[in-house]
Amino acid sequence: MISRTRLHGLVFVATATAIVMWLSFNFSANLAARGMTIDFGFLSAPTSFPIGESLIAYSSGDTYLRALTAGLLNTIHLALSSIVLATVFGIAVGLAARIGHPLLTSAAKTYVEFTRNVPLLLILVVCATAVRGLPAPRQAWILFDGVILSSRGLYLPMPVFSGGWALGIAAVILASTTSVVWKWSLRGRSRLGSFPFASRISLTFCVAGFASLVVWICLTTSMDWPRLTAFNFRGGWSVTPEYLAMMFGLGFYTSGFIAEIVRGSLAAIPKGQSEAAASLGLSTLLSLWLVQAPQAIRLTLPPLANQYLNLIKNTTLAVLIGFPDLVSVGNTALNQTGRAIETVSIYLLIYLSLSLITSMIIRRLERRAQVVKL
Amino acid sequence: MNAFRRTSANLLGCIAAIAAAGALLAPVDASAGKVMDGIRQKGNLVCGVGQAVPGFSAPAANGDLAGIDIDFCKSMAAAVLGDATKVTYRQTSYSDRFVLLASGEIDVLVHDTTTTLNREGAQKARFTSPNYFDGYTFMVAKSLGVDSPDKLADATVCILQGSTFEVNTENFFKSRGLKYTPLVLGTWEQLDAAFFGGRCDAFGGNYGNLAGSRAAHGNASDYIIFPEFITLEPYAPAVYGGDDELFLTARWVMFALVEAERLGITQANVKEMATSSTNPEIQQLLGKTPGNGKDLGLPEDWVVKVVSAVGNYGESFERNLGKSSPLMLDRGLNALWTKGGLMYAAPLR
Repeated sequence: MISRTRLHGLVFVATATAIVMWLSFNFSANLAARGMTIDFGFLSAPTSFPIGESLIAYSSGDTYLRALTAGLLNTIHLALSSIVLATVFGIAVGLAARIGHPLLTSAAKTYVEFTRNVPLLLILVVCATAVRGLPAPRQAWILFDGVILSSRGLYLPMPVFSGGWALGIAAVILASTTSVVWKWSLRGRSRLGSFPFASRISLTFCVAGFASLVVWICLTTSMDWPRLTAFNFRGGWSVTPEYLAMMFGLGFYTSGFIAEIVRGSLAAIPKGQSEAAASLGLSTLLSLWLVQAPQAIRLTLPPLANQYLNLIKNTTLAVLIGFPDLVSVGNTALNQTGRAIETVSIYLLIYLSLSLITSMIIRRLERRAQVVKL
Repeated sequence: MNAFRRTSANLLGCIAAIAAAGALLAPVDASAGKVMDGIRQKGNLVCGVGQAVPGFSAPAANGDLAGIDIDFCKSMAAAVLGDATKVTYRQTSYSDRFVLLASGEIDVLVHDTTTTLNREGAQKARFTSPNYFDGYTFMVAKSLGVDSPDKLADATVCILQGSTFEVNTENFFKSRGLKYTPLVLGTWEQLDAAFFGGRCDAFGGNYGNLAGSRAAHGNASDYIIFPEFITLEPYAPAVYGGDDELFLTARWVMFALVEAERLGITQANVKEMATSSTNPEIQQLLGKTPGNGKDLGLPEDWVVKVVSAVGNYGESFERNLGKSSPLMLDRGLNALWTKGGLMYAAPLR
């Protein structure tokens, strides 16, 4: 005798399968009727368009796959820096709301209401207009020697290692030997109560190695200073106005939500906890830090994951202010090749993967933050 | 019992969601060759046009869209439906236009669109003869003191996404071994804001579009557009491959507009010419001598309807792009072949 729940399950699976089959049949029939095919072959074809900024070397003539990868890395780069910014500001504002000082509380409240109630697009457009309104390169603001702010972005001097690959390899080898030696020496210490002779020698060796590495870096490093050419600055390390606008806009907007999550989670901790902390003589700050925050983290993580997912998806608005994220580069690729369905399915797959990875990471953190049952 | 209720609630929710998705993906009638029938059946032509591209498709003072592309949409409706007002304008972005054409959302695409091999070969667009010959170049502020595109090394260039411009710019700078920074945006409005706001040193685009932006901005004398054309950009209306009847109509409407100009048929005199002209070419063009209409499957007076609605090609040009428009463009390449330009019509017989 089949149970009712199982019967419902079977009906559901059958219906879902039928609907999916019907949709895919329609999809392919409609494609055939319009004479369209699906072909991802364009990914290995050479491009003929530029990308404004890229973390990997890219120039026209590289493959579409590389162009899309450059866009994806820009998306991840932007998402990560915005997440850091939003989290730092969010936690700060959330804590400020709980400290109990009336001025701080109302300031935090205003901040939250403002960021949460202004549409993100508006914030981004305002940010973009603000950074573009900076003076032209020839009238740029020189904040410090080599730190230049203009409508072309923020330029900083950049250290250049001429040591190259050898330097990186040496650093990796040194770091791994150090960690092995360190563990070994700790093990020795717990057994003998003091550093054994062998570990002392290897420690000396490690310290000497690090010292020579530092000297080597200093000797082989030169600074690349930004300098003014006919129109723009060249050289140095630069951040474009579009990147700045996106990072601040997304960070600012999301921090309001995060602040509210932090405040709410702290408020959800039973009052007895803070009263107990106070009766032990802990100050408000210490009580927040040592007693309330560790408990609140468990409540914070799930809604925080939602905010991170939203932020990652909101990076696609970059296309409106000209930051070459995945969608912006993909739209150009789509236009050059006419491969709309393929490009859009690549977007879907990538944003789905980014979201799944983010929630996986947060779920791990949640597991670590769980109360240990005795 | 609770678990059972929850399961069935979940089940119902899922089914509802899937049904909703199904409704969105329901089959559409998209059989090839039926676009023209569809236009006739609904008595309306869906024309894909630009969003705020002055001179081509932009709102006029009275709020209606105006431009040389809009005039072509009206001509098509006049020829097919006998009424130039039976057009639904669908303002599309440069990135979306070919997708909308391929999916049948728009019947005709008239969107300052350059004819390219890839667009015809891979994207199945079918272009008529050009309604505007343009060339790619750059606009810069006069204050920069740059007098040639060759002196744009290290410049930041504002470029439109979804056009031929990204490739034009790349080819130009690459062939000269110059470095530059692109800022790619999706609409003319965003580009205008970025360029006139000082974010870019140069604004890459076709002469006609750049002149439109400069005119709309006001102090036109502060900016120069380099007269050297880097590429030729023949703008042409397009339909989606597979409907010969619609394609032929679009192709010959374009020719008819040009031929009317050569024969001196204007919006003002077309009705009179149709009845009283003794020129055999005019008699055949305007349907007094029947045949053209029948060959295309249109009423014999289709050219009368077209020219009554928008005038001949020259009138449409002057009104939207020429001396009586804010853009003040010369006819240049767009003059008739009899006057040293590239505009010609194949014989309408």
